[in-house]
Amino acid sequence: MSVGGLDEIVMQLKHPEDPEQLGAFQRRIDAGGLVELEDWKPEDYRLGMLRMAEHHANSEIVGALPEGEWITRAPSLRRKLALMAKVQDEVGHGQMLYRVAEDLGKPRETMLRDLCEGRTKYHNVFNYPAPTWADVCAIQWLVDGAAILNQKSLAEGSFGPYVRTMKRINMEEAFHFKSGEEMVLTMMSGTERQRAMMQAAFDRWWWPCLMFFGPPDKESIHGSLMMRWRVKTKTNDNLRQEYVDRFAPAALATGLQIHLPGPSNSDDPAQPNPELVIDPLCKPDPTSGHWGFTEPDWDEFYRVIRGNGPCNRERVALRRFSFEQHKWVREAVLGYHPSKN
Amino acid sequence: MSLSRIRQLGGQSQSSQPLAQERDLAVFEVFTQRSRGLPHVHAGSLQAPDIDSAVRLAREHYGQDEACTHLWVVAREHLYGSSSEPCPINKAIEHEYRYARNYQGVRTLWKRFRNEQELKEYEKNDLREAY
Repeated sequence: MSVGGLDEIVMQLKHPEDPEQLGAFQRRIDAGGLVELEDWKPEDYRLGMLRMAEHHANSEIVGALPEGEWITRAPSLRRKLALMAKVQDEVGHGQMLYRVAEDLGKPRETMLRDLCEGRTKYHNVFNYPAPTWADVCAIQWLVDGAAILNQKSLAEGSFGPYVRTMKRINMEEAFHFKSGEEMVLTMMSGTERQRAMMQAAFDRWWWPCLMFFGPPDKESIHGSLMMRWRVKTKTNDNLRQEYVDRFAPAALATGLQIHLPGPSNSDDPAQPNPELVIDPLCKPDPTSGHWGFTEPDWDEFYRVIRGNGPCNRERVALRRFSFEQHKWVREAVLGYHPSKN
Repeated sequence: MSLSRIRQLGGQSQSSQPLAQERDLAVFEVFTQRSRGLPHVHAGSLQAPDIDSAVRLAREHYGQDEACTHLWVVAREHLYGSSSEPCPINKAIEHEYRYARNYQGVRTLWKRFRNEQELKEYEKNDLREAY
């Protein structure tokens, strides 16, 4: 990208910057260079990167909750061990990312508190319920698959500490994803009841996964400046298309059907809702080869982001409960002295 | 103390005071970053009287051995290492399920549903570097 568009950047800045410093910064980014903690950076860059790292950290922590509740009910010892390891990994990713965010200027305690009190967000996808074991399978294949696609693009970003963290995280995500594929394929190679259960879970997760990449580019408020600074390297719509191109044909090949959004089966979450209809657009375009899809329900997306999804309250309440329950651990680590209290 | 003075002393201190080097030098560990964005890697150590000199020496010595973009220097006394004993929990439990490379059977499962060409296309987006 040329430096010619500097005026365009200046216009988007909320915090005015020295044009020379801004120009030098932009030239480094445009040349593919990385920004390190000690380097000069525009205030808007710092805040954008901080917001992104904090949101990512929150998502790792809350993302462990829907799967964590299945550890005690995993169908075999091997699955239980793998799920425990996965949940532990996710929490570890959260710790690494809070460090990145903290170095950008927001204290850890404030981030944890903001999450518990609903002042900051996490990925919308974790506000959906996981009522059956097949949901755990779907999460590990579809949600981790979406996360990997996103994180691979973020590993091409411009902030050195975040980029290096992404690379470490992706090493572990590779195991989550393989384990997810193995679970989904085992279910789809199983009995009719297992396949039905997998279909019901797939119906619950496909649409949240398409929304995972964020609103359409035309509605995205943080888009262009973050792209110019390589905080993001691919647009929401590009990532979504890549995702559908990979996962739609794979899902169909296993025998899953891709339905339009609709409610779960209210009698039994392990059975698909028979009233759901096939997404008529979900087929490859004969000229481009790209797979089509019906536009997700963006009203639902905004409803969930505002805190009114199926599990928002439950997830935040559990996080708050853990935060309060473990207050004594934090105090013990800091050296609790009864005489001071 | 100047080098000529040290030579003159012939390595033997004539006063009861030890040489300045013996008394004041500390060991510093040096970590070099070979190009921007890469992690800092341990390169070696050096002796210096203070941190500023240590950074200067590290730049001269390690920074010229191999081209590098950045250095970290830390006093050895501030580095804390773990024990080298293997973790008893790690020894007791097989962790093969923690590594993507141990999921080779997934390909066999996929082959029930997809042909080689489709599978190759799908696998392009795998995190192969992590296996």
